[in-house]
Amino acid sequence: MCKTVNNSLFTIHYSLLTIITIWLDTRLKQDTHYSINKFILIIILTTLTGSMLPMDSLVLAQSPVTTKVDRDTIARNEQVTFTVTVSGDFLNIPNPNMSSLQDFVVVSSSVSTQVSIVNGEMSSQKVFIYRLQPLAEGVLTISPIEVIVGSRIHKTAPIEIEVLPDGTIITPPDTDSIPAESADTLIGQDFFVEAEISNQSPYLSEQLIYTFRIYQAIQFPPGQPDYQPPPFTDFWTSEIVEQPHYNTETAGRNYLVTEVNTVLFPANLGSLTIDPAGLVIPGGLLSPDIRLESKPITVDIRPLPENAPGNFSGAVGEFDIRASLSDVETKANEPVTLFIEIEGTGNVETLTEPELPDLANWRFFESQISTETHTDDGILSGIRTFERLVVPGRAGELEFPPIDFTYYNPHNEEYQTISTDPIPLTVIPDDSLPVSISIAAPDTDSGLSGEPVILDVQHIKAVPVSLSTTSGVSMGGWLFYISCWILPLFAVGLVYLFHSRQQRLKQDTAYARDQRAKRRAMKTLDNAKQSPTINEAGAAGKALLGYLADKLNTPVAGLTTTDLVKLLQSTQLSEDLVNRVNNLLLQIDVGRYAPLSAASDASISDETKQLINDLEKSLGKRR
Amino acid sequence: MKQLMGLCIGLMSLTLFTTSLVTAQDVGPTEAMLVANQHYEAGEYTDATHIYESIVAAGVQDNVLYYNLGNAYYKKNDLGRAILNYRRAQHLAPRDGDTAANLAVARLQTLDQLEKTEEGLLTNLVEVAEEWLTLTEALMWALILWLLICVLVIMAILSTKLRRVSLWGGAILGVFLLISLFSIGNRYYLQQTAPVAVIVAQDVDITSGPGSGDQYLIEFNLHSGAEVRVLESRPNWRRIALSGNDFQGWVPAEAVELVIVP
Repeated sequence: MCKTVNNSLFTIHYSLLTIITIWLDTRLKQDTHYSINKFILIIILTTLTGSMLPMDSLVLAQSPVTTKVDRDTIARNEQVTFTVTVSGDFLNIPNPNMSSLQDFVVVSSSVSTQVSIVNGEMSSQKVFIYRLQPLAEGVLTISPIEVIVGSRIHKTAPIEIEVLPDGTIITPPDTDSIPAESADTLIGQDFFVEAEISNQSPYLSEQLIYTFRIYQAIQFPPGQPDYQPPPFTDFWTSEIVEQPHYNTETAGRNYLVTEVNTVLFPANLGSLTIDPAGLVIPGGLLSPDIRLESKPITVDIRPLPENAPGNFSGAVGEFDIRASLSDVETKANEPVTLFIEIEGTGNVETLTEPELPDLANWRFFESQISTETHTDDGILSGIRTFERLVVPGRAGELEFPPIDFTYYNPHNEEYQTISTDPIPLTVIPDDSLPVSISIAAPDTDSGLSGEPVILDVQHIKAVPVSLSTTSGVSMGGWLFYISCWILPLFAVGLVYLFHSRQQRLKQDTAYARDQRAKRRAMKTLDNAKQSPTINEAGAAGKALLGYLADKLNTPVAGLTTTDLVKLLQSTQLSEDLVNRVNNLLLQIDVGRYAPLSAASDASISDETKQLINDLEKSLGKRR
Repeated sequence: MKQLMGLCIGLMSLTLFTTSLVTAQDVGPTEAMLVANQHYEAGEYTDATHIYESIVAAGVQDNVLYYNLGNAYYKKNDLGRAILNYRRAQHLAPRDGDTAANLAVARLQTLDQLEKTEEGLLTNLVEVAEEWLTLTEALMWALILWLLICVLVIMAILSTKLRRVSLWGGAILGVFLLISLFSIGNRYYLQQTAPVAVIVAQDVDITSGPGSGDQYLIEFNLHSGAEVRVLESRPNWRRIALSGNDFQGWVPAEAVELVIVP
């Protein structure tokens, strides 16, 4: 609650200012020197007249100290803002003495100072703001506060505050703490506002215009007036940027009228109240702000008739619909863009996409939506565009069928259904498709004409006899696989070695005799043992000599024991073996010409075998 | 075995729910697939995909199963999963003409008609091999080539008359073997390092980092059915590349699925 506002003083203040301005303008036409000081003079006069505003009583006019509270009723758990303003030509103003407060405690405080010097005259204003917490319930008093200004002690008037119990809901005052004045009381005044609705009983979602008019008989004080629209909680809103201005005469005065229009679309049924809209006019240097409020408006929202067609989706207004495709010709299975535009007046921004025809073999992908709105004579109009990628699934001279759109026309009070024109589209076959794709009969229900080419995927397959549970190779499988790579390599190696040996046996006689020596000797001995007619000693001599001749690659014919021993010694065979060969050959010679007993024959044969084996080991290593 | 038992229990409830034609006692992977096929024939594609997916989840990896699953997804207009399952079927049976045809139809209807960039010789070889042979088949063919080469080498060793012909034949087969081994190696390497995947989300933004478009720049946009390669995997995010690796970026993990699940 403000204790210092006096509207009549405002009127005097601004009337005086206007008169002085007009007078100065007249003088300016006569004398250009006046232009230099015009602005300064206006400020001085404004200040002088503005300083008269707080004079709502003689006492306060004489006291430089004023107080106010933001409200006079609070709950126990709430706080009250207590403002102490000290004005005058003082430089040093000490803080008010708050020690006299008994029913309240100071929670927080702040201070602001404003000093101005005009033509050498200094004026200052210091504002102390305190947040006070009540200490009890009931009617409490903010005790008089002492403020020392200059050499005098000023006491403020006591202020009573009603403190209600905790949790009491108290309607909060205006945020600006400025009392609002209704339009009725202000008609004939310098400023007043009013609000109007274009239709008191619209249909649900029907477009309404909420008009807030600002009347001004004089110019606003410096500063931008602040329009505070109502919350419009039960409406979709869209503000119109244009603000028409015109002059009108009301209550014998000429006013400049500014309109602020807001487009509303009711979103709820029944009796809805639009709260008052406000306008805050900033004050002058020392004068407070002015808050003006319109009256609340009640609107009865009617439901739409119940006989809505099935495809009605809430559009209310007057609309037109168009559709087009981005191309007139395309390939089968290549996308083209379908544009659906709905244009008109009404709830354009909330329009939903019309239902597309149920077309077999056409595919539709997600939609992009854009909206453009504009106002004509205060009516909101616009275009809402829906873009979809569509893919024709067949080739031929096709026709995209009409798209239906239903809206409610509040002027005619009936549902209206409009449709797009059919859109021709030439779809050429896609050669890249595999030949095996099936060809099916045309779908007569789709409303499409043309040669069918590609319709569907191949049908599903029958269940196989057994279903595979693995797609890879097992560890055992891998081992077998690697073995399959290695084994042929071994085979190739073995074949190569065998073949090489065979070749050498064929080509290298010494090697062949060497490789076969033992086998031939053993065979000779075995044959002698098995045949009673053969002298074993003679056979042993033949075997041993043959063996050694093969090993030493020398002819057997003419080979004497002496020559043989010499040859063996040249091979660096051990002396022991050479002696054994020499002794055995001597024994064989004896046995050959002087028949021995059967036991002796067998002994010579065995000894020969043993010697050949020993020689094989030694000569084999040597080789 | 546990998986199959789980499949049976799952299908018991499913059959009760969908009032299918088989009894619970009869249900095995083959019988379940019969049920799924019947749902498909009846136009109940959602039920069909559920059953096919449960068979896959039980460990069955069969090209016919994947082919039918791809068809069911195609009928549900889920191009991404249709292509994914056609690719899986093709991985198991690359020479199946029906799979190739359906895959071609599905690919033509994707929004992202990605043009293939020029690839290297090895990559082309890999692609050709993938179109004709599974990796196992390719390995078997390589082994057969190796065995033939060994036989020819043995013939060259043993027969002087056939040595020249055998050696030339072995050399030619050796070149083929080397190419096939390179191809198999590269194919295996790509499967391990950059496996093929398919975008299954309807519409996904590819960002410059593993995060949403609020954190990183949106590089480009892909739609369901786009085939990509996964270069890197992080929790909840995958780094993908288009053909030729010219376009790369990150997608949420749930937006992309690998053709060959490791």
